[in-house]
Amino acid sequence: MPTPPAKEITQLLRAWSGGDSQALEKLTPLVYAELHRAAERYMSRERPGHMLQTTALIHEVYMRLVDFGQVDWQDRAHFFAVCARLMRRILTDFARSRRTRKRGGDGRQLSLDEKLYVSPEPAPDLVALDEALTRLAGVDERKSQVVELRFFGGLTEEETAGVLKVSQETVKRDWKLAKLWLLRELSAEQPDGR
Amino acid sequence: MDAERWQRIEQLCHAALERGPSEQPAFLEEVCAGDEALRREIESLLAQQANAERYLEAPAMEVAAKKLAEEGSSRKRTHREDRLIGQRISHYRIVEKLASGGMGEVYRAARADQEYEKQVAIKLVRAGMDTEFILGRFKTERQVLAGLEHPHIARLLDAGTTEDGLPYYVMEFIEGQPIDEYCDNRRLPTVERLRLFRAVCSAVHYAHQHLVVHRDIKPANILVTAEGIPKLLDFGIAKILHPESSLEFSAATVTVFRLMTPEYASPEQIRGEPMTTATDVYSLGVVLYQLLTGHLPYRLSSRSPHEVARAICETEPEKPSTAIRRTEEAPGPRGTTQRLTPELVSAARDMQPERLRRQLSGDLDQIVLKAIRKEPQHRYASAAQLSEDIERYLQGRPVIARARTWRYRSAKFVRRNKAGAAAAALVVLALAVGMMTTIQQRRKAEKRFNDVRALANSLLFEVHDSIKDLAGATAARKLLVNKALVYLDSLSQEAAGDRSLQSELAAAYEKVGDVQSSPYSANLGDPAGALASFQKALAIRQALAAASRNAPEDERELATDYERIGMTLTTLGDYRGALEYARRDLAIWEMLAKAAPTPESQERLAGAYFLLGRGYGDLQDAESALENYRKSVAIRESIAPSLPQARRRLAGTYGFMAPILLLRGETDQAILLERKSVEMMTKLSEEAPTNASYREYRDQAYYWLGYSLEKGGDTSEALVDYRRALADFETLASADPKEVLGKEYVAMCQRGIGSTLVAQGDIAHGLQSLRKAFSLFQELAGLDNTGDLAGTYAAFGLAYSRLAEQRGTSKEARMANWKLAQAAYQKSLDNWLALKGQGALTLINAGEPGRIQSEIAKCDAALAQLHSRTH
Repeated sequence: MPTPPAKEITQLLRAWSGGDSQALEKLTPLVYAELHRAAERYMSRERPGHMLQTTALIHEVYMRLVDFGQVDWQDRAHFFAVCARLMRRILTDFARSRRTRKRGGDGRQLSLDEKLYVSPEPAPDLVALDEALTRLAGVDERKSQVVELRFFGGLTEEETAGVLKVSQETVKRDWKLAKLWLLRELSAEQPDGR
Repeated sequence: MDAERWQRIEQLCHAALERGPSEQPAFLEEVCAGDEALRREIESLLAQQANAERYLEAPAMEVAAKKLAEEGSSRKRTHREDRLIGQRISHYRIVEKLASGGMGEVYRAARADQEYEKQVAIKLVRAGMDTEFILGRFKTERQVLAGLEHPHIARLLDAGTTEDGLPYYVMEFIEGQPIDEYCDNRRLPTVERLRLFRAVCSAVHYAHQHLVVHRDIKPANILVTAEGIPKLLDFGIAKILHPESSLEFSAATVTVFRLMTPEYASPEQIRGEPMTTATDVYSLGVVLYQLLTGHLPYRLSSRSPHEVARAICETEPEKPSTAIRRTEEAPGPRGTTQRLTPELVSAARDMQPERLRRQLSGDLDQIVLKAIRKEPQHRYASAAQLSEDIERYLQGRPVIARARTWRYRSAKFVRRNKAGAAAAALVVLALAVGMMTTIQQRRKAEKRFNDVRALANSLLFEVHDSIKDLAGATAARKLLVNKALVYLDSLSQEAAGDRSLQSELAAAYEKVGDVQSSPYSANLGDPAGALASFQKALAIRQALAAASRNAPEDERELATDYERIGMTLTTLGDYRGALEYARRDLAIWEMLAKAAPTPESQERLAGAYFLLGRGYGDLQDAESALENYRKSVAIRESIAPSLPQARRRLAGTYGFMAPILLLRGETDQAILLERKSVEMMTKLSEEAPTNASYREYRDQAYYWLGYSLEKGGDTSEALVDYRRALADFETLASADPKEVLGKEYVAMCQRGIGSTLVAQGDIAHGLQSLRKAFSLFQELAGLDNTGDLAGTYAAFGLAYSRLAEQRGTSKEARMANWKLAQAAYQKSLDNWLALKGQGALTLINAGEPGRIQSEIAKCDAALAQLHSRTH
């Protein structure tokens, strides 16, 4: 799918910033496609040891899609918010698709390097997190947004504060409490408390 | 839940978080005022506060990307394999994949033309394994198998290369079970197992007679067919015992570890030493152990490769009859774990536990143990001999294994083989680092990054401790250091935000820096590199200490970095910088030792005083230097009985005090301290004869004693001590040509001998030694040895002056010698002034420029006088 012209996206973005919610509907699939492609590229990079910066990725997409001369900082903030939401979708879908994969192994004596498959690292389960986050939104939408922006979008406290139009201190507190809530929620699901 | 209640929960939560965990219960009690539901709600949230700190700190992308990375490579691989199934290779069509080995894959295939009903196994090198030596290995294996025809060895039928140029070979397809599973499934009693085992021995012996060592004998490589015929497989890393085919160090170790199962590996394999037929005997012994008991010879606390490797090299194996009493988890077939109990294990042998124990004890115990002796020469000389001893047992005849009683004590082994253990650690590190760089270069490797990281880090620590005292490992260390730094630097980008990883990383940088340059032990001469490493560590530690608000553990670690940097700066000549760090270090230890006055913290405090003393000394503040040295000595003398390392450092401190005392004219005191130092180090090296460092310090102490004696005028004893030290240092330097400290001391000793001889009037021999010293110092150019050169020139100056002063020589000769003296002193002065200009003139040598100048003046005067006589 060819990259849509920057002009179109910029217009949609401005329209949405101005309050046109239909513009968001049109905007989303366009951005999604680009974001998805960029994410795949990033994730399959052959350069180990480099931390992947989500914001860098979103910036890249932003620069590609938006004529940023025409757009003010508020629009930009909105764009990032959209991207964060889309990233959440992309990554959760990705995680969901991998859930079904089973571990193989023929039980033969494993040589040394294979034996290094010891217990998996406790990385957050994106699918469970996504679901818990949806539930959190039911209790306190702003906190859910903070998590979405910070964790899925990779935005800083400051940027998040700008998007949500609150103080940085508020973002800090929301982030803290949201994490506690999510952890409690997720540990309730698993009997071993992980 | 309504919005208001949620708001209240939120407010209280934040308030509670501000108070910290210890005060929270009381606080909640107060504010909830009986509303139990509210309190429970908040408590349940607060329960997560410890976890919450790091939760979600790594952005989602990273998490996902890592997952993708892990699976991407295996996905690519399965994709390729699917592609192979149904393909033809030579006359065969690939049916299914059987296994994945270190080098490549094994497939089952059937004859495509259906002329024969033959099933074969085709072994193919993995595409992407493009290193030369892997391919070379493969070719070797083909050669090997081509020559082997034995009923218990899987036969080679055919070989070739595919269209893509990958070599393959076709083997007899063995449908069977690994020997341990086969025996357990059929509950074979011991005698039957022994019979099966003997067949395997004959196969191994046959291979040995064809000069092939298998090197990877394990149950998975011994399949037993339905008819009960054992077949030995996978001479995958077999080596032909030819002198030409030897691999260089790193390739060998990578081979050894990538393609080998550590549980069955012999100590010499792990240490990277040459492997012989005895290696196979060892592995056979472990297989036998397992067949008889169901267990492995060593009790392991974990199955980490490092733990296993260490157990094999250092731990005494348990007797089989005792081992069956164990209850432990062990890996079972097909990736499961089994819980082995005495009942289970003996049931698999169709017996009761007590009967099994009685059966195994005695001859069988001894046979097995003899096969798995750590020293190859104490094992059975061949697989055939092992087999014969088993036969003797079966026939009720006396067995060789019991003929001599070895008082085989692991303690003795460990002491004798400390060098071996160190080399083992070295090899394992090379492996880990080698693996890491390989992994980083080749994303196709499906390793769990974190696990390897943990492994490599643990190895880094343990290697340092064991190679610290090993003589002759310098070049190896240099290689490892470089690899380690590459690895650590790349890791540091990932470490941010992860406290434990950061701590590990800092420690790793410290260890590497220690290896790069340590002021006390044989160093590689790279203090600049060490400084860089230490500063990386310091930056991390400072961040950690700030984050933990100066928790004692973090402060302690910070102090060690201050110490290291201080000492390195001293080596580099930045004395002011060193003093500053010494002060910071002392500040921390004063606080820590006061808070917790244990011998260890006292020792560290003494060390801090020492460092500070040294700092002052380097800046020529003799008074302050002595003051701090004395404080240090006082502490160490009081704790020396309870802490061995205090004694060594005490000896060292005496050695630093003495020259200052010499300067102040307190010669007798100086000599006394040097003697104490020598005495202490001699005692320590007698107590620990394998410790190379102690011997070195002792020899250094002899040098400095000689030096003090020389300054005090006792030239004959000085000579004795200098010569004593020289002999030992020459041995050290010749053992490891890259080693720097030893060479320096050789030069210093030669100089000392030279100047002492000159003082005694034997100028000719004195000059000889001085010349040797001089050329050695020149060889060591690039180090901070300006001071040494200056001193040596001065000694030349003195020698020539003496010659010139000798009566009965011609005027020309005397003038020539004065000129030589003058030139030498001038060069000496140049060097001293150069040091002074850098601010690097030490306390001991502070008076030298002035002294040399007056010597030069003397030469000038003498020359003028002689010159005037002519006219």
